[in-house]
Amino acid sequence: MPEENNENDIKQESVEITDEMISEFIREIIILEEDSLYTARANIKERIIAIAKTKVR
Amino acid sequence: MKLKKIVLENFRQFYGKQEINLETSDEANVIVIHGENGAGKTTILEAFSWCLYGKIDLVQSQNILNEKVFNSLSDGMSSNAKVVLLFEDRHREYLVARTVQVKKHGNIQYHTPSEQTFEVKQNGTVITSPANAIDKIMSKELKKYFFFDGERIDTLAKPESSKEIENGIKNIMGISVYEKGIKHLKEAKKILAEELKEIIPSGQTSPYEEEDSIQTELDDCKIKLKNNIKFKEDKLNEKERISDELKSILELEKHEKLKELKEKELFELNESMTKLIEKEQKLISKDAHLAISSDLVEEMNEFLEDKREKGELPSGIREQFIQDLIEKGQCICGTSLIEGDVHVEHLYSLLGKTVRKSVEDGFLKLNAFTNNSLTAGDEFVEKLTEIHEEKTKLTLKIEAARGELADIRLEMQEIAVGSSAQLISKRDSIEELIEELTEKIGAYKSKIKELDSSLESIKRAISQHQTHNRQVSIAEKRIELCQGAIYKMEETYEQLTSMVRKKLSKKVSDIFSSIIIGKNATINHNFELEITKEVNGESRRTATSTGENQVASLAFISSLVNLAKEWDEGGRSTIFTGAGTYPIVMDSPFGALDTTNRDLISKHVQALAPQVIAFVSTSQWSVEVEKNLKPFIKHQYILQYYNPDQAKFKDSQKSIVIDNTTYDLSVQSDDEYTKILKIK
Repeated sequence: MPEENNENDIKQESVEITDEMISEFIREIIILEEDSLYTARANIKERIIAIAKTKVR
Repeated sequence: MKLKKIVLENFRQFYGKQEINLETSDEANVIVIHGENGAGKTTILEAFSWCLYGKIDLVQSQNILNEKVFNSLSDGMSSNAKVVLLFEDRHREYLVARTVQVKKHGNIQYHTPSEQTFEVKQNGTVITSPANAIDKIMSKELKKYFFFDGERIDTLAKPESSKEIENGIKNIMGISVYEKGIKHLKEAKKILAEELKEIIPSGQTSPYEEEDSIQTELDDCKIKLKNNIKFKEDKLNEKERISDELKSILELEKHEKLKELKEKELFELNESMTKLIEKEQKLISKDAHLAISSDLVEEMNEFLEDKREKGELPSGIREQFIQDLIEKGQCICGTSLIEGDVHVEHLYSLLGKTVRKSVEDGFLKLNAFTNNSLTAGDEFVEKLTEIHEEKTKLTLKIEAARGELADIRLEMQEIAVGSSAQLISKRDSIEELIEELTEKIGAYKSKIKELDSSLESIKRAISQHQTHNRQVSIAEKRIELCQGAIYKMEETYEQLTSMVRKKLSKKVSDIFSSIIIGKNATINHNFELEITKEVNGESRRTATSTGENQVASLAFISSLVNLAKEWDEGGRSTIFTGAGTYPIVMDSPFGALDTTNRDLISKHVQALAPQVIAFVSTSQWSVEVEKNLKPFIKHQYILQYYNPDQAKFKDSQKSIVIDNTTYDLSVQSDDEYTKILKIK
């Protein structure tokens, strides 16, 4: 088991922030913002944090 | 959005159920509604707003129910007022209905928002969140750009309306989405940075923390710089306005013109000084080392010469050259070289003094370098001396110009009395403020440069930064993701804003200059709708009339509508989310215009938007306006005002002749209400 954990650690540490990842992130933020224009949705920053956390884990 | 019909039912002065067919075609895209003051033109404009958003901006806004109906109610009884709007948007038909139940409490119309019903049908089906649907089609923010009072629209062309112009552009073109996104991303990044701080083992720091603090400082500086630049420009314009005023005062005209010339001269001298300082700095950073090291170079040269004389260094004759002569058996002067002869012996002795080719090349290069360095060092000192001499001359000229300017100022103060003296003193304090602002702007620019370079170093540190703590690494990567998105979104936002501003500015300029001859209107980089005039080949901001401001404002709105339509048709609504088709509904389109400008602008009304609804009074409906608009009118309506006080109207306001038929605009009646009549 500890060996498996180490392997996971190595895989997860190798997450690289690519241009593609950033572009996809921006697209999601724009959708959120557009949506909020019409629904007065609150907590956008929390939702952005949630997206960032899903993308990098 | 293309308007099709509006139905008013016991709404304000509109008694019973009355409707206006708003449908237009591409060729005939104008609807004209005639009515005198008090007949209900503004009420219809507000009926659109009330139906779509539940907001009304009229006196006694609580009184929505028609007075005649209200008076007929017994105390405690209720009746309804209703507005229905039919329109089309992106090939879908919308039927919007807002009703309010009004209860009679003595003389008070009692109703609360809960007494309102609001229903939106899309292609016949009721939609569940009607307010959201309407906001998506035309948000409250945008409404004011398309439903407006022509008499008040001129304010858009005043510098203080720049925020409104900027917001209009950003909202309609959908750029505000980026602005909000960047703001939220920065907040999110801050929270993530705080989370990182909590998990970093004690004693360790993260470059992300430092980056965040520099970025915050940088953003703050940029905002301050922008505000100071804007403030300075406002003050410069104010100064120019005062200068124009002073020039119009006979006894000061000569001095004012002289002052302007001197200021121009001083400005040019200062510019030359700045360029000279830049040249000096460039020269110093490039060649100063040559002058500083010239003693060293000279010493090195002497040392090399000494070595050469002692035969410890190549003599300057190439080894290959001597070998070639011996092999060929002939000197370059033609003398035969025979083995054993004295000349060949001499050549052999020289050959002994040469060293390996690489050493020889190295020496030759070093020798060339030291000689060049000496020459370049001398040249540097020469150039620097020249610059210093030029600087001294310029400083003297600047001082002289400043002195002359001070004298002119003094003379003006002596001549000026009363209001002109006040103007001069006001201008003097503005000039002082401008100088202070210039210094501040310079300081902010240097600070930004410094922070930018610190940020670059931090970015390099981040790219090399590594941590072995997985939790910390993940937290850092999340911040990196946010920062990457911030950079990209900021870049896109700047590009889109600038592109849209330039495109709109061009359109505004085209429309404005086709109506007002000899002047131009543009949207400057501060988002001000600026009216300019060519003076000596220079485009200068000029004093404007209300009419010109009105034309510029209309040109701006028309440009927005047309660009939004163009981009919608070009399939760019995915980038510019506000792209679409919008109508213009305007009360008194010729509000403050004089006869000439009114007639001129009436030629362009049909081109303002794909659909134009205009409310006009008799004083604005001239023969020329009618002639210009007629080919584009789809329907015309009359607001027939029934009232007990006919005496308040002039005869010219009581009726109107359209297509040789006379229509009553005002009718004597015991009750006060308005009937909508369609002109056949």
